[in-house]
Amino acid sequence: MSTVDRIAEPWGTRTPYGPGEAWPVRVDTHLADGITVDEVDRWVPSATLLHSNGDAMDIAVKDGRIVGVRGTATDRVNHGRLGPKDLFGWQANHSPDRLTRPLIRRDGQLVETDWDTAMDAVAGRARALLDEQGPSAIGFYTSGQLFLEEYYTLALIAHGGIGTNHVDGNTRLCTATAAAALKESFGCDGQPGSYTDVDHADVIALFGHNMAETQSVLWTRVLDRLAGPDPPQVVCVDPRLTPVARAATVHLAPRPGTNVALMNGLLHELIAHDWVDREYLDAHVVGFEELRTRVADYPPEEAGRICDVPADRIREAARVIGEAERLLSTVLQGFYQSHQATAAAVQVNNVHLVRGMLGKPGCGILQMNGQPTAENTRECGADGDLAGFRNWSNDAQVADLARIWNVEQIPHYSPPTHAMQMMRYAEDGSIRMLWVSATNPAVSLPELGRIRSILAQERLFLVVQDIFLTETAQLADVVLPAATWGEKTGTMTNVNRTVHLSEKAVDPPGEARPDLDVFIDFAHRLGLQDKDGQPLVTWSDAEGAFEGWKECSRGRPCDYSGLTYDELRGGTGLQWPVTDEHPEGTERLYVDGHFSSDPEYCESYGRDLVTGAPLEPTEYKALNPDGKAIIKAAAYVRPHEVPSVEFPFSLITGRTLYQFHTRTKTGRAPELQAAAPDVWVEMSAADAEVLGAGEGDLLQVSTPRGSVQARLRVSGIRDGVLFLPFHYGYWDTPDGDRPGSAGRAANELTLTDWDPVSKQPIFKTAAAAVRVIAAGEGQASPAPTTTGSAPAAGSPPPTRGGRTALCDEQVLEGTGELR
Amino acid sequence: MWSQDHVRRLAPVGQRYGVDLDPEPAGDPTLLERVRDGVSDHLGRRSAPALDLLRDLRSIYVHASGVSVDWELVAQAAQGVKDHELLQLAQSCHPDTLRQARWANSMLKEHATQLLVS
Repeated sequence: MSTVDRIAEPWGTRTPYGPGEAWPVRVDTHLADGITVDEVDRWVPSATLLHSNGDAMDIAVKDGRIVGVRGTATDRVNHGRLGPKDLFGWQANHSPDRLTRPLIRRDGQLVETDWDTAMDAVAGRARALLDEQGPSAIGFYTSGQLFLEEYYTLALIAHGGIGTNHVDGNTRLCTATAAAALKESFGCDGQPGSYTDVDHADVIALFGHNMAETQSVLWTRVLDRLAGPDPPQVVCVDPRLTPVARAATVHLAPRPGTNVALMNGLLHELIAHDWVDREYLDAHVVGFEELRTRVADYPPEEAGRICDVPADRIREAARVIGEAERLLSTVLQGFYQSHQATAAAVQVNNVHLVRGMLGKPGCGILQMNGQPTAENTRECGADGDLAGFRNWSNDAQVADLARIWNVEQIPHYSPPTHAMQMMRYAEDGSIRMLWVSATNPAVSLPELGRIRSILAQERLFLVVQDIFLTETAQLADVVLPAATWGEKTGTMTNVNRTVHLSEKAVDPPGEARPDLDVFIDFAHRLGLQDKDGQPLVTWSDAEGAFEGWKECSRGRPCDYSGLTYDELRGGTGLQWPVTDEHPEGTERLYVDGHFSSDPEYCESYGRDLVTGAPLEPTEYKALNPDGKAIIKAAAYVRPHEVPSVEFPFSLITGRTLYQFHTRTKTGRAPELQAAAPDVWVEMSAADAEVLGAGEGDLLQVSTPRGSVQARLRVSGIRDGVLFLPFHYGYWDTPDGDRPGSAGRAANELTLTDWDPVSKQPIFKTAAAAVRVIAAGEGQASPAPTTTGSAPAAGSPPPTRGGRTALCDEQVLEGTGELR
Repeated sequence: MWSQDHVRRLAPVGQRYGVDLDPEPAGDPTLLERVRDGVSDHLGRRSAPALDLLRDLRSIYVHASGVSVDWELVAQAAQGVKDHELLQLAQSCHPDTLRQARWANSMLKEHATQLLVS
């Protein structure tokens, strides 16, 4: 047993291992000050909430209160490890400013009320709008942090009961491009790879993915491979000098917004050197010729010119990827939130199809996501998709869902309304009721000045269901206090399809209720019925909802039919599909080149990668009659907003290891908040010199939309680019829901623009100007020193956690075989 | 952007036929700005801009469809005078025009119900 400051050492102690070996077990534990393991009354199984890695953990309970957490040694995902957000984030549950009673707006003020009054107001307004205008008046904007059972119930209510197309969520900002890219390449959503591919890969390529900070336990696995015998080579594409870039064999730092050109350059080299699996392409893939023609225009010199990356470095990266025998690729926000998001992410899929590296140990694609249950929103259709990866454009599949839900029909005359379009409809007054659950668009959406003015409209009835009075909740007409992780039961599915059961450990505070109970209560108050006049929602608890979902998913790619809550209590999560045929789950999809892309079975017929226009069913059938994988090529097109004389920098926003989303929880966990207490701005040493600025100076960053003030960290970011973390809103400032004298939220600056295919808003290309407001005079930037914001100049004090950040790490003997 | 690229590529060929095209065309301000105006929140929150959007999308669709026919005419004529360069140009540019028309059509389908019925 060793004790480690896990703020200072976010990835903990190395346990090196070699290719093909099992990852050793290391159990991480953190308990409240003064509590010992012997004093814990109960350990309640759950999984991690503040990122998408899905690490299994046990919640320590003493005297009806959460007192700590411990990683689950036997789980296939994390082998006992936890990241800093898991080790410390649970403390937010106890925060004294939790919402404990419903609130309703009276004479302009939010005042406490009872559940009956609040829910009657919500259901009453919904009924009135349905009678007057119909389902098009009502929108739901949910989250990536609820449980599967809650999303499925919400999707049933919205699509099957109310009949609205306006269902989306914060996952549009986080995971929409992952889903879209998989649909384009494989005809259907579903993660091809598995975390265990890290154990086998000889090359790991990370495309716009700062895994060290977004999925810190998965990065721990990579670090342990790098520290062991015969380590993998690492390729990193990122404009910042992140921990991943520091560990990389080849680091490419392209100009923001040019990912497609870079990928085309890499593919050009793979094809030019014949690092191509002809047999695989012939047997399992359509579209290669189009790709070959398209990337002929992108020799490394041309790609390098567009991206401002040396041509030889593109050649070097292509050689590493081209000579790989077991290639694992991962993709995240550097691609998903950037210009041409889906087109770029699809090119990563193309690399694997061209190289025939899919469905084998070490040969995987991980199109990542950011939030713990983003995957569940996609499966259940709470992000606008149809439940069970059903195809909106396939009448037979929609009819099948109507049969399962026992409703006459599910309106599907137009595609699901994406988040930014919902905001536009609210702006023009055609959406008149918006129900936001477990997320905070007043800080997370682009161009916040506009978003605030939309949400604050008197004619918009805004319902917010949350655990704190967020910036968004402060604008609401009704606020519903929710129970959170540890206070309710449900399942969570992570990036690599692993399903965990998170059990209730303690009671929620005050009158707070599980989100599932709130949705069901709403359905009953609204009188939603099936076609036989029976209540539409037939379950009353989480396990009932899970059983309903199992039937809905049966036979679809995300098949849960072989799972039960009891099986999920067996010490490890299981990867879907879990069926009677595969009761232990499925490690990798698309083994032996079998895909879910048959025209009758697929989830999507695909879209034009540049315009976003959907393909007609007949076109898809002509393109892909035999259900193969689909290679789609795309030309690079310029971003809509490029640097100019007035706004000479590219602005990218992003995240830090220590905070999650808009800090509603991590900002209330003392060790995490202290590690990254306030917004900062990053700039390269060369740019800082030209500006005459140094560490800690107060800068003003401006775009045509607004301005933000932040202290400078001179970091390893590429020249010409500014970085702002997006976590910092206003709930812990005197003004509460909006900027006072100076802006703090990065999204004051971002633009209203989205990817034409995935509709994911663009946070990585905006043109910005910067000027010095005041000298730092010895004050350091609040940026962590342990992460991508590590200093390149100056010597700010190192990020340390101190006594309360000490955690136990116990490395268990043996091979790490699950026991 | 595609349309500007088409004009740029047509300009040198056009000279052979006495057609004077700007080899560095500016973006077509009328359609783009009208769409931008249509979605602008400065116009206020009423249904008029929504209907403007539909009208603009319809206009783009009709316009692109017309250009698509023009490409067919150009291709036919090019074959007649055995101008292989012009024929190749038409074959290379025409798919972009079809994609523009299809985009406008898909946007119309996506928005029409909400904007007309609400």
